Amino acid sequence: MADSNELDIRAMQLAADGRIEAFGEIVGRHQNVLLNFFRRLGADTDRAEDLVQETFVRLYQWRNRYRPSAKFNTFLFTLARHAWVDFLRKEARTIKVTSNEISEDAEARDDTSAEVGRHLDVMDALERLSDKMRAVVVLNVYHGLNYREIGEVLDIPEGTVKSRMFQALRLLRELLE
Amino acid sequence: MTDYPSDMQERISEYVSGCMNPAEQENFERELAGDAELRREVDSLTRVRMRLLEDPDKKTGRDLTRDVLDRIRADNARDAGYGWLYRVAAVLLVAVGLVALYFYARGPIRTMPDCTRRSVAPEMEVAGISACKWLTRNQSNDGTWDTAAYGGRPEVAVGVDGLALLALLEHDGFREQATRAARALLARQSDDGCFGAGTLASMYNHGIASVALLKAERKLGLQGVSAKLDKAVCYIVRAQAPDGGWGYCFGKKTTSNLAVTVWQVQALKEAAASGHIGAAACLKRGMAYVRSLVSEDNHLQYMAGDRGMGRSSGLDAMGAYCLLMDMDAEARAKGAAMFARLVDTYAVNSDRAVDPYCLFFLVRAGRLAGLSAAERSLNRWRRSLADAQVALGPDHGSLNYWNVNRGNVGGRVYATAMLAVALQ
Repeated sequence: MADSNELDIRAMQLAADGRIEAFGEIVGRHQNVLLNFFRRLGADTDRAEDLVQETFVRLYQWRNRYRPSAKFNTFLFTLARHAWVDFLRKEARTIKVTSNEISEDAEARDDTSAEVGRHLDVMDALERLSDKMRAVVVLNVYHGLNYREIGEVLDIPEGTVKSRMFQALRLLRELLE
Repeated sequence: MTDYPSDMQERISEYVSGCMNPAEQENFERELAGDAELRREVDSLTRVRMRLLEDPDKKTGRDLTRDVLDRIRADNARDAGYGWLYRVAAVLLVAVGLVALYFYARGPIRTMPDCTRRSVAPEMEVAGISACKWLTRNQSNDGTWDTAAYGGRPEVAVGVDGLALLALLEHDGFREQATRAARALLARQSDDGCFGAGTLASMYNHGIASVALLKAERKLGLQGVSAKLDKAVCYIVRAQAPDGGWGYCFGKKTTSNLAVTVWQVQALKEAAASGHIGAAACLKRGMAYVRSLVSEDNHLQYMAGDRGMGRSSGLDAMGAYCLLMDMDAEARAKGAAMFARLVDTYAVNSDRAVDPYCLFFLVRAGRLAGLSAAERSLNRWRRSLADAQVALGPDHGSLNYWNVNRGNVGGRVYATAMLAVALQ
């Protein structure tokens, strides 16, 4: 029985052979996953849909060079992450996430205490994490990537991923409880 | 708040995310047993992680496949030096857009109303049986399902197996496979009575497995399981929080929420119906907890004070089902009003997707509400789910989990089991 990963790899091979409809299957399978990825990183729905399209266009450009050495999802999220970083640069950090994000340093963490006691929902709380922490939480909690895979996507050591996860969960605890 | 060294932070992260191997986990749990503060830290971070999982997935407003492929084709055409083709395509697109605008201006296309049915339409039954066949084709010899191999998370495997058992019990012709599934679940009961102990969502697992096994005992006539099921009911009673609800894990410090509570209440109801150990007082407190979550405008909150989730159709569907089971007449009236509102909401927004978990509770609430007017809506929602069923290939009969709420947690076995249950 072919799992999702095998189907994706096969579809990428077919796309490389010029079968664009096969690529459409990948889009159908992953569009909602990517939409939620971008949404939880802080994009509104319209921007998230644009970013989903952008990621798939980039993926298609990789069709001849793609080698299934890792899980397809890991590769897809790497491209999605790059699309997100490019978007942030292009938007000159104007989206609201970056305007009220919590930085990782202790001084900024003191500001977090102002939020405590206020009822925040999960999305509000996520938005108050730094971009780096949020990416770790989103990839692990909502997309099931393990720490090694997250390290590959974000291009950081596995140990850093784990530390960021710990710090992020502590901040979220303050914000949610 | 303790400042843990970086290696301890890493180990806590690994444990909370369920990423440790068995040997590491055993060592870590030994440390936890001897360090109350560390235990508190780990428990609270685990609860935070579980809270995050309750944020529901959203879907794209439209299928983006065509947009993406059009963009790729346009890029290809431009790259190949066929800029003129790109311009022609653009003109054509504008023309199509104008035609679409014309039809839009004419008003929505009305579809013929569904024929009125008082039961599940035959084609829905066929679709439900097809979903069960996928489940049985992919059932392991020992009666379990490999949740992780089909895109789910191992920590919810017991609950997912419980849902698959519920699905097989809802349709005729799967007695042998259902019996194997029930026996496999019973074999996973720990000494304290819990199904799925030691996982981050043990009460979810336990509640779902208990409901499924109590139904299985009655429907399949399972022999020699009564004591085990009594033990399971006792576990639910012991796990009840002081506020009357249940949280993700056993213990008085766990935070109660509706999503976990609704399964324990179902299990206690099922136990009472099948003559198991009496837990009337516990059930009464559970029902009172659900009533306490009803807002002034008759919506269900996820937990006391509405922390975390906000409103959703799924919560209202769970709540309506619970309230309709209540002995209190006022609560039942609220449940009926809530259910009627859900039907209206979906009837007005006929293109709104119904997720199978929500439909599971809507179907049950509909049975209790006895609203014949809802039958047509229920069948339409069932049809929209059946339309999403995989029609070809090795996974035919199943439901693609990446399009389903909570699909990223339960995987294909979960999505398909919910489909099969919703179609009955």
